[in-house]
Amino acid sequence: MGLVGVLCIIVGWWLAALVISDNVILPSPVATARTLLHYLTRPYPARGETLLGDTAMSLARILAGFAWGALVGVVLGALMSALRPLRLIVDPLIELGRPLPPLAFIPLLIVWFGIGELPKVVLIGLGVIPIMVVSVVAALDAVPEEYIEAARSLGASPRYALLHVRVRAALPGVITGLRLAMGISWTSIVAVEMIAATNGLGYVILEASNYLVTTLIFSGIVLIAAVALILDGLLRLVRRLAAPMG
Amino acid sequence: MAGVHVRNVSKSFAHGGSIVEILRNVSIPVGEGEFVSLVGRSGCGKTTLLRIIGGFVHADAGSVLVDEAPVRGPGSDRGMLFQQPMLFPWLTVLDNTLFGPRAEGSCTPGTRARALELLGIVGLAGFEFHYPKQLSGGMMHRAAFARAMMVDPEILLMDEPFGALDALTRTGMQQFLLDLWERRRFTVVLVTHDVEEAVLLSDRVAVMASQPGELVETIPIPLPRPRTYEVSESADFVDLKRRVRRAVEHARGGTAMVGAGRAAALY
Repeated sequence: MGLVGVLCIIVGWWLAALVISDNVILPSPVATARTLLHYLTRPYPARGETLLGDTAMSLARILAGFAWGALVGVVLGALMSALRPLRLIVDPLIELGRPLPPLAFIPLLIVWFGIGELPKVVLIGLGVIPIMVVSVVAALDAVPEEYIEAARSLGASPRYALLHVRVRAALPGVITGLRLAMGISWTSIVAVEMIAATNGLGYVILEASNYLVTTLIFSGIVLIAAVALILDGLLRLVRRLAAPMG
Repeated sequence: MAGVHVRNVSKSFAHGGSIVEILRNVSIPVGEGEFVSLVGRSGCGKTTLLRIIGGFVHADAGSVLVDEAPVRGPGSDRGMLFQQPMLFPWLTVLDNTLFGPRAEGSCTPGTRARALELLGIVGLAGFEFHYPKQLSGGMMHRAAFARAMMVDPEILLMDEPFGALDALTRTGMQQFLLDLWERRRFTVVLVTHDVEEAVLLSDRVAVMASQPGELVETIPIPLPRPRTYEVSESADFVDLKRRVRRAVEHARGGTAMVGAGRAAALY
């Protein structure tokens, strides 16, 4: 059923392209697919990179930034949930920082870290951390105390109850946090690649618009959607394993 | 099997800057294999007392002895059942039942067979590989019983275990508990505000007053065992129920105090 919506969009896109019939304003899905497939494995003449290479570049940055951000966020969230004083100190910082779009930090990060890989990976992590802290704290707080008490009265040690009950019960909520954080990662990476990069899907989209190659703009967008969908699908699969029966 | 000896237990909590006295000098001896219910109005501290016996809350004064040894924390000698069954939703019914032995590291080749047998006894044969969400409310409670029985507790502590069930399922679970107790004869401390349930199940009913929680009266229930739900139609049962209800109503409590305040306001 989920495919119906996607099909509707493609058909609508296709009809609109027929009416407008201008490949620069709105290329048809077919023209886009042709460009996408052509440059997937062939370097675009103005640059030395294939679409596949750009996708791999963006994906590598996302995974690196997401990994360190998620790790810091999970550890910080777990410590905040366990240690009340730490929560009182860090909570206001998170609340202050959360409304700030990570993109506001791009110029600063470029000043600090140059235009190499480091500022990009740092930026993605900065977007991931507050989301993970908030969702990890919420997930751990939501574990009913009776779960722990039931476990203890079944003979579990405090340590066993912590690992096998509290952490385990919080897992589905943490994975939902990872899905949200993955979404923010894509926003960050595309933005930073448009401002300070010479490769990656964000750069492809910007370059293509400079040369009015609209089919390539659409190819970049379609690739982002496809890779994001695959990553989210993997996280959803993990969540289903962690929370059987929803 | 072991008895529980509650001796001169007092407990206060800090609440909004003031100290609220929850329990004052409560003593209840519960014999080996005895079924005792704690009844009283909301706020009489019966749940706090149960949690002190369970080892989840420390008493300010007094002690709880299990088999002559003072309680210092939770343990598998005291099984705990809550108003919600609190099955772990990520485990199947069988894995929930095996949680205790796994946590204790006491699994042997026979453990799984014993879990399956217990699930059969509580009427869950065929549901071993279901997840809690796939069970009805009564079935979840029976699975919780099987999980608790798996570690052979000498004492079962229950906090309104059937309070959230519909009337028909509750009756079924009361009969189920009577049968299970008949079979195992563990020591039970049951917290309930359902007077009929207390009389039907217990050997003795301890009535508590509120604010602070104090033991008012212990009423023996000399109804013959084994009991079935039919006993609730006997004249003796009705008499005992009336006696317990009177004791609960006459015990000092929050509602009575509100009533007095309202009466005073009228003048």
